[in-house]
Amino acid sequence: MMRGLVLGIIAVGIGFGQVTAQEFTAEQPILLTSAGQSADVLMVKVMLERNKLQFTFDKLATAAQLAGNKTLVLVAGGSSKGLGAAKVDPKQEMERIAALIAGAKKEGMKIIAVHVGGEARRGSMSDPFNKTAAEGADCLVVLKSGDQDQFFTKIANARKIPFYGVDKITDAVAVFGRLFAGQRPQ
Amino acid sequence: MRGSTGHRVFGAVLLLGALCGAWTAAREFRLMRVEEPLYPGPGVTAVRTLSEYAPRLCGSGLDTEVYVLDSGRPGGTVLVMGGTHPNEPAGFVAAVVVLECAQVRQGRLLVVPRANKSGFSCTDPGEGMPARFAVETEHGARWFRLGSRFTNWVHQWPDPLVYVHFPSGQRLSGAETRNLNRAFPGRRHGSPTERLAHALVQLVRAEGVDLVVDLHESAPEYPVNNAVIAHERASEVAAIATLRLQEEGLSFNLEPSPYTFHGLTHREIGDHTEALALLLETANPMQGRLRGEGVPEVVVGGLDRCYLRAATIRNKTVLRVPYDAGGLPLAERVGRHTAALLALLGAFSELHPDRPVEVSGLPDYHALRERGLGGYLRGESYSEAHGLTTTPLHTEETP
Repeated sequence: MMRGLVLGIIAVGIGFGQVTAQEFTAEQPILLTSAGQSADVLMVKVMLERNKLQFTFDKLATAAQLAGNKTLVLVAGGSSKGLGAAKVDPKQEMERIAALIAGAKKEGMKIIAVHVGGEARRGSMSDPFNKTAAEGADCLVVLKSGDQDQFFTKIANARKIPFYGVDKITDAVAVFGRLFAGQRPQ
Repeated sequence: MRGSTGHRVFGAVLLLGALCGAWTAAREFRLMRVEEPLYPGPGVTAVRTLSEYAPRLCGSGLDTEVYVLDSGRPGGTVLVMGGTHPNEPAGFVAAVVVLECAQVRQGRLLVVPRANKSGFSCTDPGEGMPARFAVETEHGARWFRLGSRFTNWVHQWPDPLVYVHFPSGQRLSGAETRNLNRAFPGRRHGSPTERLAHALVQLVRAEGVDLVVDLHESAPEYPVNNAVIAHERASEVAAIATLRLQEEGLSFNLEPSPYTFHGLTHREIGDHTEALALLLETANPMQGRLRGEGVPEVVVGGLDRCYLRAATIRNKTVLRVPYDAGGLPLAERVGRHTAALLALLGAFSELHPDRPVEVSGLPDYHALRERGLGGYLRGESYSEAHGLTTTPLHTEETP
């Protein structure tokens, strides 16, 4: 029993180590959009600007806009105000995200899902968008306060994709800098 | 005959009791019209009235002070509004802290701490709210009114069955006709609340305001909390400010102003003027449906036993903000507002280097948390010692 438990812990540790140590780099230009219409996408826009990255921003981007881009950045998190402002309902938004992910995979693009809204962007309003974006992504950048129940960590481990947890939202600025500079974030 | 005398005595006692009750209630009602004294700090260079921008407001009971803090150096102009909803004390008190502490180094601040002054003259009927609360300061206790979300019925009555917003035609419940934050952009010949909204829009236009920041609070269970709500033209300023706040360790959400919900400051001032319009929300445990006793201690201390219980049930998902035995003290909520205002000023100046606004002396969240609200509110002794003017205009009776 004890032997099995120890082996299990080692196996999980090795698996996690593989995920975090995996090299992941992304290329420009980037198509930046929202997954759930939260305004967090605006903060990620500022982060990309601070890194002087080449990107196109459209919070309602469609698969037709993928052409010419090499990376899709999805900023996950639902907002009823945001959906109302964009005049879309959750079902339409989910269909748009699914089509974008499918289109990006078809084009051979990298997909980065970002969740920087913390605890406020979890729950019944946000989690369907969070799940769809994370399950379609090749890499996750997540503010740790939004992953206290390991919602994103579990998806990353299950799919064996890199997971970059940040303590502060501003730490994500450096993560983006390194992802697009070809250097693995610390 | 004896029975008849007994009835008369009993009737007289009842009548006397009723009169005493009515007198007490009437006195309390009238006391709400006594304005809390404000002590403008050394940064205030002029005090105007809103009716200077819309003369029809004069004598309506809705006219209010506009404090000008002018550096004398060219830069941007920022309007800070508190008391749009007088039942949201952190927004009001934060505006008071700005006018009493801030010194503008470049550009101008305009501060309207009691945007809906009529709402300060009554409480919300049936809500069991305290009429006042006090804050201990280094200069003695300061008292403030906890008013109503709406314009006083004394100044605007009756309510229609349905409130039709001008100019959108949006329909809301009748009481919303007295809600200033559903009345923008207002109209010159409209209801008193619409005239007030129109006057504030006129102020924004006449003074060439670049940035409007409206300070609010909401119930802890409301989904938009500890938030910056931005008109789309103000979204970049808001995004940079939110990042700055996160750098300081303050969690704020960024929310877009809905296109289709009309009458709000951020939507209508953003749509109808050149200014960038934003609204700030903090969580007020005296405001929600889950609250317990309506006592001044909860207003100031922010600890409500019912919210404390609500924070522990249903996997802690009932409330939208962290809530524990420390409560949400007024000082922290005011600190959130001042910190967000400083971050917004910084972001605005970063994006508009030709129109910077630089302010000193304004405490941030950490300063207010450490020193307390009382450390940043002035008093009569301070004003006398520094030769400063005291407002308000009516202090004949102190509760």
